[in-house]
Amino acid sequence: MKRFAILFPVILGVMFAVAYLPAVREYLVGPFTIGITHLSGWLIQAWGGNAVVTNNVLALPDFAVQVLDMCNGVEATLLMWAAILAFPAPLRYRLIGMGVGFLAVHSVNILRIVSLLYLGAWKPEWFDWVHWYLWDALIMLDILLIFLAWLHWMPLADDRRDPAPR
Amino acid sequence: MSRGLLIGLTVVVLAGCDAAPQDLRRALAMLHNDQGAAAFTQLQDLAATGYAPAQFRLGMLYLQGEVNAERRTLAERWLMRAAAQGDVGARYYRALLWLSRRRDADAVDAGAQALERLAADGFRPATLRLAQAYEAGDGVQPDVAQALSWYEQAAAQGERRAIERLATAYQNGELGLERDAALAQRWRRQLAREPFSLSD
Amino acid sequence: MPAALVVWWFLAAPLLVPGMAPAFAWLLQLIWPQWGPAVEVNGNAWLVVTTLPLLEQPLQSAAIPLGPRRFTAAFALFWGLVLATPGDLPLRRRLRQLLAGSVLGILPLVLLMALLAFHFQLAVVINHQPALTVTPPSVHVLALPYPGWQFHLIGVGRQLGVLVLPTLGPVLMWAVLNRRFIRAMIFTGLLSRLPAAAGELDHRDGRA
Repeated sequence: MKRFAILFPVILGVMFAVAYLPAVREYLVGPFTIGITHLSGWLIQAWGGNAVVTNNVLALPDFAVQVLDMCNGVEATLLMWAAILAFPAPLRYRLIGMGVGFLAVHSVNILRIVSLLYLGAWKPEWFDWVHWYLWDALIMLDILLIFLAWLHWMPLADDRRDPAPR
Repeated sequence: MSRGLLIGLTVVVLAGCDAAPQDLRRALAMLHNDQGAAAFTQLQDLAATGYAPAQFRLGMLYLQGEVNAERRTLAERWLMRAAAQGDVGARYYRALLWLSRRRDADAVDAGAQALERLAADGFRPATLRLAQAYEAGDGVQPDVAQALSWYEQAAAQGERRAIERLATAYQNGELGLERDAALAQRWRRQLAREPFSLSD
Repeated sequence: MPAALVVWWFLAAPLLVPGMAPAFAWLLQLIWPQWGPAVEVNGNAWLVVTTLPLLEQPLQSAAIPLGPRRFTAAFALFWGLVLATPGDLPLRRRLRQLLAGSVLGILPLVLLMALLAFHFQLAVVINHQPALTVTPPSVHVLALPYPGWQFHLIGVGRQLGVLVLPTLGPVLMWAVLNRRFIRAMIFTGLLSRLPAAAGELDHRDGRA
């Protein structure tokens, strides 16, 4: 656990330092954010909604949201990946955890974006509170659940290799 | 062990109580609360102790209102003392004072050099000021090539006014540049780019 | 959790914001004594007044606004987690956990978040450079800018402090105070996996 406690903040710090390099934000995070916004808009339209997407802005006739840091799920993904990478596990299980976790985080995040958009159109006075407090806590709990589920899913050591001699 | 902890704690507590900056802040608050005389006295006392930010403010105070020769001399004296300790504001305004002495070539040279040293330290307003001075012949001899060079340096540092000037220069063929609408547009796009830096 | 959020929003936050201001001011004076910072409380917000001179008005100084209320939500998350943890922990012990965790863990954490956010705002003002969706004010200040790499790291610190710590911090604090619960309820078999995972890695490295 001591190893995890040291590795986790180090890996997280390095990932954040890389993710916020101007070139990475310009050529990776930016296009990814636009992609997430377009996907959210497409889902709304698929369910009969009337959303318009321009770059990272998702708009209904009465309200619009701009998808920026934290709302694009990048920080949540890095947090989850740092936890998985810091935990001692075979590479295969780490990669599966990171991949499935990525999908899980962004599924919840898209739900957040869409729900906030409709909340803003319906009750704009609640938007800030739900955006900054409720959804932030829910996303963190989501990451925690993903990590714990990954820990729980990883088979016991004996299932992965020959039993150790007693 | 406990004595060492107590000493350490005392040091830490006292370390958060650096008096001069707090006194300066209070003096400036008095200045803006129409307690000019008290603020002036406080600034004088602080400046006399050698505290550079107070010396800079005192120098600038002498440059307020009607500035006669005596006030100007006092302003320069305090700005010199603060600049000698590296105070950025004092270095900048002392340079501007020197540049304003148009009949004194040595002073103008010294002013330009002082601004160049500030620009080399990364202080963008100095870079921009040099560009504007060389373009308008403000203090220094007009020099379009120098002006363009300083504008480009300032723009590379992200100075918006320099970027705007270069965009206009490329648009209209100024600063010795050929008209180039594409380059003008590229510079303008830098101004319009969001901090999040998404695609154009 | 909803109860904790309600208590925090209506009762705790209005007291925490002015209550923490003196401690935050002391920290600012410790870290940035050259700018003579002081903290003024304005409703739910802080205004950090400094002696950083403005280029356009050298006799005026920069003042940097800060919204600490958002960070204090960490208290609510921590309280919700502690109160919701199942088990036969006596009420007194649970309350002691709440108090100790809040004062010794969450409070320093919230002050750290505020420091990271303030440092970033200060760097944006000094460098007069937009970063991370924050634009600088129209005025310049008379100070040398931070080098590029420092400016970048200050931004990273701010992102960690504003986006990650408010939720991760309380979870970690709760986990530290409830190790037994986590070990018993969630990490069943974890300890048997740890040596096995490490052993498997050693095996791949060729070590015995």
